[in-house]
Amino acid sequence: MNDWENLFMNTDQHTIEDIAENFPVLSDEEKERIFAMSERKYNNTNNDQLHEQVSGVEVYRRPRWYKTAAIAAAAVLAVTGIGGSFYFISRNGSPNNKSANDVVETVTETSTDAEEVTTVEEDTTEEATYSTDNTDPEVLLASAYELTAGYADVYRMLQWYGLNVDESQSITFNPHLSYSESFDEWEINETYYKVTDERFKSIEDIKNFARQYLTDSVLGLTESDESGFPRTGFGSSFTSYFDYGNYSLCPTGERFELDQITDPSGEPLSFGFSDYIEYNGELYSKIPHQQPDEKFFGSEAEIVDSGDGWFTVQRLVTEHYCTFPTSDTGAPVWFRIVDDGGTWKIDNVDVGSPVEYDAYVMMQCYYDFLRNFSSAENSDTSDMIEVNGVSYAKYASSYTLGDALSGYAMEGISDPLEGIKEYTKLYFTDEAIDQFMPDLIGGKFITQDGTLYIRQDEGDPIFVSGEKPVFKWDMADIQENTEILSVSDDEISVRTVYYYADGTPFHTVSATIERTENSYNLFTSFIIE
Amino acid sequence: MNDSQLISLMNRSPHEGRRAFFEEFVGYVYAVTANKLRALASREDIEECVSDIFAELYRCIDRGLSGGDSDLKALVTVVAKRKAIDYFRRLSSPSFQDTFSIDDDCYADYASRDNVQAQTENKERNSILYQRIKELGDPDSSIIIQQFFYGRTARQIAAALEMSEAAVQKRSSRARTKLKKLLIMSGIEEGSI
Repeated sequence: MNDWENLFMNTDQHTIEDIAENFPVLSDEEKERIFAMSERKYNNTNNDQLHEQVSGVEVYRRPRWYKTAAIAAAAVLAVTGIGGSFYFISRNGSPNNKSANDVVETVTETSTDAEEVTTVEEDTTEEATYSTDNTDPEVLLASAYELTAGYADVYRMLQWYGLNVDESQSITFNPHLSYSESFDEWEINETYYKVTDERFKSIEDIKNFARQYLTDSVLGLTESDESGFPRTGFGSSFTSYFDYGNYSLCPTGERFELDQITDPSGEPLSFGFSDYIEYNGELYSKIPHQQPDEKFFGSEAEIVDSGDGWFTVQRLVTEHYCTFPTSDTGAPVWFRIVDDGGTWKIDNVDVGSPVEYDAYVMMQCYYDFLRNFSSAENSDTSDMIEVNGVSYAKYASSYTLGDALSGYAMEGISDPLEGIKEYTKLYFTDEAIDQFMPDLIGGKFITQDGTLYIRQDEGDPIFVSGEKPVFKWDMADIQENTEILSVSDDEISVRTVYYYADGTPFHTVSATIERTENSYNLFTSFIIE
Repeated sequence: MNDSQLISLMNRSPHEGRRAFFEEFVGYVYAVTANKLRALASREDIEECVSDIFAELYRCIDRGLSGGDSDLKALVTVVAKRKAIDYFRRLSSPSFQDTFSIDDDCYADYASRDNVQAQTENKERNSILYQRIKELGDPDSSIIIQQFFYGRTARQIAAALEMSEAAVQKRSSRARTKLKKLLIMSGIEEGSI
């Protein structure tokens, strides 16, 4: 078997149903999120008008994305307008790149009772910083600021917040569709609003904007890491924003079969419902515009690796990003920047988990190894021995969720005690094992004739009673009961109070977790208070 | 709750009915969607698609499903597959023309007679494969399915199964080794999947 990614290729319907029933994957949180999204879409569509409407003059202000590179010495540009003056921090706000790349923006804002118009004019006559001609580290860093800020703009524009639109100028397409003879027809209403951001007159303008910062590779591909787990990141979503589904080809209000609709090339027209369309030479979007948080990055850019024609920049992203909870510190994101025909561009985006989340995962692991070290959970009492007056039972894991210790102790390692040490290396540095493990597991295990035995300690806990957890061990509980004491590039210190399910405190643990490679994943200290 | 009861509830109390309908089918819809999109889509894309599917299903039910001729599971299947194909097209643009394999059911017309035997063999192989995965036992079977069917990351699986990420990675590696042996014992040649 050489391609695990294709393990489930061509899965039949029966198997899909069986997997759905026996291996459900959605958490309650995920279900709630999806349900809320479906409700919003359902309600939005039901409230839409059925046919094209073009009227009104209210124009929304552009979002203030340009504060994303919130660096102290950012260039401050004057913005003038009737009714007041505003100061914007340029998103090119690196302290190092000001002279090389000032993108001057002039925003003129006009307001009356009935009308508010925003226009944006960009003067991009000066050289971009991200030319690859100059590889001076400071210039590279300036390019990194420019490119990562551009990434933030593109990400927000396409992923969450949309462009400024005039909601009074909208088009609603309502093709009537029929998927099979078994069901009645139904109609789909999709409403698009006219984009008012002067930078973008067409889909091509959006693509070209993104291509200033990103290679086509990062715009269109999904990659996998070495273990075959898919990466999260900007990746594959990009093309979905406008490459399929052209409603302008669909007559409004008419009824037709889905498969009968074809585009000019004869291909069946997809109802992928692009987020952006062009209609009568104008750009429309259906992304509900939202005002983004002002801060996208939580750290300055740092070049962490480089080679011939490429370098990698790390920045912390504080915006709610990917699937992780919002983080005060941020999630590390690694931007691989390459020489793309004489211009630096971001070629890959690799997203780590927020620092706090790493800590929560590690503190949750406490239950993992504590459970594996519990004689109440892992004893085969039909095989007992007594050594120096102390009772031991054959180690037999009943921990069905993560009997890692059993695996390490019993498979492939001749000395089970060495297996235990290997297992603990999943969580602790070597130094920490030497320092702290004797307190946790010292004397707990012995071997006899190659068999592993565990000491029968009355105080060892069980973890599940009547299919109910004995402890509060969900991530949400761990998160709620963990205090982040300090965070640095190398380590994070935390204190967690562990509780029984009934709310009685069990242990309080202070720990320091070391960062190795890209995540904080090894305890350097672990003290039960 | 059967189909008639669900539809009745949706008519009587729309929000409560949609909630019940969602709870009834979300696992299945997610599986159908993940099966089609996992190679291309992020988890957010899949969730987006699933929410689109349900919004469309609600509208569809609003507009005409009633009485005894309704088969909600069939409707859900059709709408879910169609919408997932739409997303697949969007995500795989511009090479859609070469990607018929996304849904053998919907693209059955493209299957030539010569492919019938291969499809039958595929089905048998996949059946054996799934049985062997189940024989791995939990948590290994869950890890393999979450990883390769649902496209979840090690970190996501770890959180779901209340394990450490390292433990998930280790178990996945061991489970794959074990699965490979089971499949070879079952007559499935290495490299054939």
